[in-house]
Amino acid sequence: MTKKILAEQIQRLYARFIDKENPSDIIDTREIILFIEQSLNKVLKLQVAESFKAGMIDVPKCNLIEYTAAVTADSGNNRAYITLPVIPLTLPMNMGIWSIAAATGAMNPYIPIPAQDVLVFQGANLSYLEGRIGYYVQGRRVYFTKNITLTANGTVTSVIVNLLTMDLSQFGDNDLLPISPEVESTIIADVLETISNGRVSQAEVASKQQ
Amino acid sequence: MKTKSLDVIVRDTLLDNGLPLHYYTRYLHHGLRCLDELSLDFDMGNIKTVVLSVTDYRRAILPADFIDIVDVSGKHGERLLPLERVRNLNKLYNRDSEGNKIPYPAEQSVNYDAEFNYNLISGGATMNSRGELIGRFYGRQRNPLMTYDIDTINSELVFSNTMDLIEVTLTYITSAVSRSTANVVTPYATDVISKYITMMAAKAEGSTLGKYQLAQQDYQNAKRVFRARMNSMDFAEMISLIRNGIHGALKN
Repeated sequence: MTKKILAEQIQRLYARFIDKENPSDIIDTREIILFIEQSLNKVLKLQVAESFKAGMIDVPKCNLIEYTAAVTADSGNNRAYITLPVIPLTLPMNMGIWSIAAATGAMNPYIPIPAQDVLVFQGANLSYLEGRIGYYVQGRRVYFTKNITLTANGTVTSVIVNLLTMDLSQFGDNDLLPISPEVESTIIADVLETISNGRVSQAEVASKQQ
Repeated sequence: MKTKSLDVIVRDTLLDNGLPLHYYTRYLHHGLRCLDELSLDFDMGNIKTVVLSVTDYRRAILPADFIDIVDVSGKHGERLLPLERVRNLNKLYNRDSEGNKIPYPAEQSVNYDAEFNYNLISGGATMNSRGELIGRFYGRQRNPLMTYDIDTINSELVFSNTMDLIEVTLTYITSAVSRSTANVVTPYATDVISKYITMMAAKAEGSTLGKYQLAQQDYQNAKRVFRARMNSMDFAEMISLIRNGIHGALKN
């Protein structure tokens, strides 16, 4: 399913809703595409939250989008950071950022650290992290617990980031969307509900006038 | 020796509970706490032995990572004979008129060999060449003179003045948790650490009381098994105990 197909379907449905007998493209598809993008992220978060509530920690893997981010050294604090290309979903334990690994170490990802724990565990046994390198999130930046650009830490200049997000800006109107089929109808219903909120159909208006 | 890293134990536990890497640090924290606690009761590779020099004022400086004494011994041939701890040794420094630390005056001098023979081995002049006690104790009370105590304020061992060794061998407990190398444990400890992590996670996550109690029971059972494994007694040890109990009797 593409954005364009979804938008056209919503457009048709909306037009029929206004005037069942005379469907028209009364609402601009560019507007609908924006609604689709917003709705997709909303539905995605609901999906994940429902699985968490059911006791399963799982995320829809088809919504994981891979980015490459350049690493910048913060030598003064003996750490390094990247800037997130997009803001991921806000999930418990920062699970919106699904994984970060060096470009050549996909199966050996860095250890995610809950941001609230970073300042607490300084000086505690945990701070050593069993020799591994961790990361934590602050705003749009992701900081690594060591300066990974140094030779001793792997000379990493870029990392692969898997984010749970629906960054639709990278998909053209005719590109296949990375969404599960069962989500499509939910998106259509959600966008329709949003754009038709507070409106009445021409048929209803006519019936009221009579 | 085959060991298992704490990192692997934590990952195993995450797999047991179907959790992603995002829970790693929380689980690792519980694992480290468990290892730290177990190491106070079991030898998790944290029992160290060092030779300490005795100062001229009859003290020895404890290592920085010292937690508690296992024993303080003197070398005697190929064996280490433990000195006796007495609690009433004066822990305050004794100083001369110029403020230098000096030993307290001795109650009486002691012969090194006699002390070892009589007070530490219970033999010597009161036994014949076949190890039989020959009597003539006349109510003599044992009076160990090669003694020590711990001065916790100054992190030192305090020796009695009559302790004339220039070196002692200290066996002591330190923490099993390292902050500079990856922690490894005996494979026996795998299950107990894993169960502890699950129990503490259940508590921290605000699980229902039933779920927490199940996790607690699992942990206690695993700890029982661990304790039994760490204190196992094999056939050779039993035979050795029986043989040690067979010896010559007193001649009355």
